[in-house]
Amino acid sequence: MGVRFSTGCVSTYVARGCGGPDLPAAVPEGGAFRSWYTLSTAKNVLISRWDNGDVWGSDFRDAGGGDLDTGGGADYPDVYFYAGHGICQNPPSPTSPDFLLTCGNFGKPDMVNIQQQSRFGNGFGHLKFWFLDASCPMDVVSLATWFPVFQGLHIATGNSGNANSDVLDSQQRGDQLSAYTAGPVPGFNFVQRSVGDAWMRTGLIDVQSGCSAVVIAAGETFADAEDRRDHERVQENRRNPITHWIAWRWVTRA
Amino acid sequence: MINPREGCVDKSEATSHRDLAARLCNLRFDDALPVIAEVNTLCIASPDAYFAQRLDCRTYFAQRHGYGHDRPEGVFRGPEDEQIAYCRELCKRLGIAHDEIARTDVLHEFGQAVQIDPKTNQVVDTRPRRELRTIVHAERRAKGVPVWSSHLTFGLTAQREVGFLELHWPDLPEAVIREARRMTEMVSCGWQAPEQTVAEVESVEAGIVHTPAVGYFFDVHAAIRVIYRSLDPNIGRKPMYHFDRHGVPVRLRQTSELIQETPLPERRAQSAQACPA
Repeated sequence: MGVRFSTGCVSTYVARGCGGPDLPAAVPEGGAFRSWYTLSTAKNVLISRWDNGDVWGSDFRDAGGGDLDTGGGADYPDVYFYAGHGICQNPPSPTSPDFLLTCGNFGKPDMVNIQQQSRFGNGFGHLKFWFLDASCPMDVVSLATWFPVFQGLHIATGNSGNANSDVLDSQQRGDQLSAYTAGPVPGFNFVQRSVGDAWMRTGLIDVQSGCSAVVIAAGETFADAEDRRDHERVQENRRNPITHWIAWRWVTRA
Repeated sequence: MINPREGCVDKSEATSHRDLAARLCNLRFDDALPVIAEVNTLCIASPDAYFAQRLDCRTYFAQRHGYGHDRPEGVFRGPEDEQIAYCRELCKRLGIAHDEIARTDVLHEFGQAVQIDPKTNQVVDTRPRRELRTIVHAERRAKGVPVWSSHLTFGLTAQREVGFLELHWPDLPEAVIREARRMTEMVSCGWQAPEQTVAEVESVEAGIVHTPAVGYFFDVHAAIRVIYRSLDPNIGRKPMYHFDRHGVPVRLRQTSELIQETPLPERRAQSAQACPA
């Protein structure tokens, strides 16, 4: 049984004056991510694949229902992959918010305060797996503040870093994460892993020393949250968690 | 389009694959289990483990399914020195020359959890950080130049067996190494990286880049890698470019070449919350 998946990837920032430098690998990374989910025999279904100005901040915000937009909202599919800029604190504190930075032609503002504005799996929302390849939006010290985001969301992945320990613009993280999670793919069925194991293996590709790959999962009990964090696979079709606990794991580049 | 071809394995190839699994990872499979060839891989799998290799480059994958901090075969809790020594021994078995190991690190993976009161969003119980496992990660250099995309990564079980392993250490054409060394000279002679808007050069280094471990293509290039940092230090994900000697970005083949996507029209705002820029 396949999953419904979307990608939103932003390479172009400069032309629209969005503050950050361009990221030439982000859009191709989205293509790489989609390719494995498309080649998989699991019958995954592509919902949306927007790039650059067609990725909007409102796609990730609960207020106003932008995240449920059938044409690109992040809470509409089961799996959403984002590649682009995030915002880092230098250094983050336990109460630091985490941010995405899009550069949209609609759906302003471009900056999304994840803990304040993102709510996934609530109401008519479907999102189960949120894959963020945006540098800092998952600071290890502030992960407890992610709790409100999990309204049915199962697992999120990302990186924790700062200006000196950052992720590098690369296609290969998203490419390999996708290969490990897409479901059976010709020739590589054997590599299929849980989301947690997949990101622990791929989230440190092309990152600087001191940057961490992070996985966070919700569960009804401590054991449930840990089990989802370590063992849940994209294709498993587990029911949505009742969120009482959140558990996370991380590994840091030496 | 890729056509899986199962069963195209002769006896000597199957025997060699089994021997490799035993020699590298002490994985022994029942004689009744077939070695399967599919696309560009060979794989043998049982309910307990698998061992696979790519046919187009030196890339091996192995997994004992009982490996893990909450699994019957557990994880290795011994000293880092012992894991580094194991890595050296493994590299010898793999035929990797000692001088190709740029560095070896033992990475520590941690877990933590909290219980939250959903009414107040306050933490009501905390399970403190604990180490889940360690992972050994080795990086590569070839004749003095870094090979950024190659790696050996593995974790050991409690009994010091390979719990999982991913080796992606392809043979490199001499011409690529030669070009990378030439680029090293260019960098040391003051090669100038192209300027980027709202970013400045953080580092410039010559080396070798190639396609990743899981993939249908093998492609390799010498390149000058330039990492830029944003002028705004709060903006994360640093631009990284790989240039050839002419300053043209290097392009590796990609899995996305295998799928066809039609260009999309510009996205239109469909809902009230999507305010125009």
